[in-house]
Amino acid sequence: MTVTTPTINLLSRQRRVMSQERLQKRRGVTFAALVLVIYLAVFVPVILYRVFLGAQVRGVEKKIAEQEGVIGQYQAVENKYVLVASKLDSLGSFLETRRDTRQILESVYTLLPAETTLSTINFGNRGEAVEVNGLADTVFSFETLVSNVRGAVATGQFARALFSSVSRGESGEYAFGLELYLSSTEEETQEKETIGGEEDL
Amino acid sequence: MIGTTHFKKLPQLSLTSEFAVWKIPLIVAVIVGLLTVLVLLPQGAAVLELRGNLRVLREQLVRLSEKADTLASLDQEELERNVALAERGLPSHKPVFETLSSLGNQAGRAGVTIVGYQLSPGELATESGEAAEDITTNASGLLEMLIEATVLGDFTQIAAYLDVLRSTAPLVDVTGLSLTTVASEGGQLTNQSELTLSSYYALPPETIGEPSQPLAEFSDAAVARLKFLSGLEFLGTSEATAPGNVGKTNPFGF
Repeated sequence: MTVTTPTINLLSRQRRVMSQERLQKRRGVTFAALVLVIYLAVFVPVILYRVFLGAQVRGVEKKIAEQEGVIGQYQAVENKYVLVASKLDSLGSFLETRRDTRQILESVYTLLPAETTLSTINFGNRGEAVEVNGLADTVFSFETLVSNVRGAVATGQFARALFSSVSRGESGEYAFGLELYLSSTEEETQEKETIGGEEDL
Repeated sequence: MIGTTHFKKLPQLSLTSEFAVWKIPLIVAVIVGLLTVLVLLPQGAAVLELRGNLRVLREQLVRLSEKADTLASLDQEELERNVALAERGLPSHKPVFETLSSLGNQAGRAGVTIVGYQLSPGELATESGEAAEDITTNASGLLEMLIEATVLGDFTQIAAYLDVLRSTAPLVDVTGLSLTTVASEGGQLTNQSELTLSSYYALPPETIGEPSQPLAEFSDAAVARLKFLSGLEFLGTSEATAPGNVGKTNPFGF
């Protein structure tokens, strides 16, 4: 009887396992290297771009400093220019709101019939109202005055007009107080109407 | 037995080798993570910030270059003339002497007689350009000095005076007028007018000469205002006859 010794090649199985391990290890290293390369492909440009931008900023800041130096040489010129510009700017709104006092006075004078005499003209309230006090010789001249004032308001020459007082003297003349508003002062006018009950034209 | 023993050892070898297989990727992952957190993200944020800064700085540089070019190209003589015009029309100080002098001379031209002036100049503007506390401003933001003037003349003369006041330097505006008919010495009727005048001035701007402020060219409206200023008449004699600061040798003499 022949005794046969079993032949078990353990090395063969171990070699296969180790071969698989090496393959896995190689794959892992390859994957890691690939990830690292890709990562560095992003990382390095970001860092370089950061450095590049920093250099750019420093360069522009240097140029700005140079330009500021140039402007500094013209400081006196700039001060004068800004001074003129500022004054012209202030002047603009002033001229827009400035009233022609002479024209206003002439507008008031054209309202008065020949038979009326002016006592006072008060032009105040920062040029928004003209207060006229005068005498009309007859009721007809007073009527003409009222008609003229009404026409002036209708044509927009004055925004509003109101007679603050009218009284008849012993010799038949009519003393009147007239307020002519050049711009809308609604509250003031309404207040006077409420308090005094004066006639608003 | 040997085979059994061998097969039992195999899994132990496998566990060890699995760690060996993932060791390098793990180290790479840790490095990538650390670099990302410690370097890449801060640098990325810095890049974004630098890009924003660079854009702002470039815009600032363009503005500054334009401003420098504009300043270099300004006609100095013309600028001096404009400053003189602006200062004559809207002085940087309370124009007490200039206004009184100009009003008096304009009255002579219009034919009215000035009975008197009343004004309270108050505190004078400081050299630093700060407005004194008692200074009033009008709606346009101009500083004003009120003057009460009593003038005599017929209506035509007073109207002419009002006309010339509109073209007087320093800028003067009639903010109140009271016209009364009075009898003159010869028995003729004449008018007496109480004028409330505002003389205007404007302090220099506080933000003068900031390098970052753009220098806008004068608009057409501004040029028109310059033309208006050049049309103003200054009839004062401040430069010619203003007494020097020499003091009096005899305090009781004229």
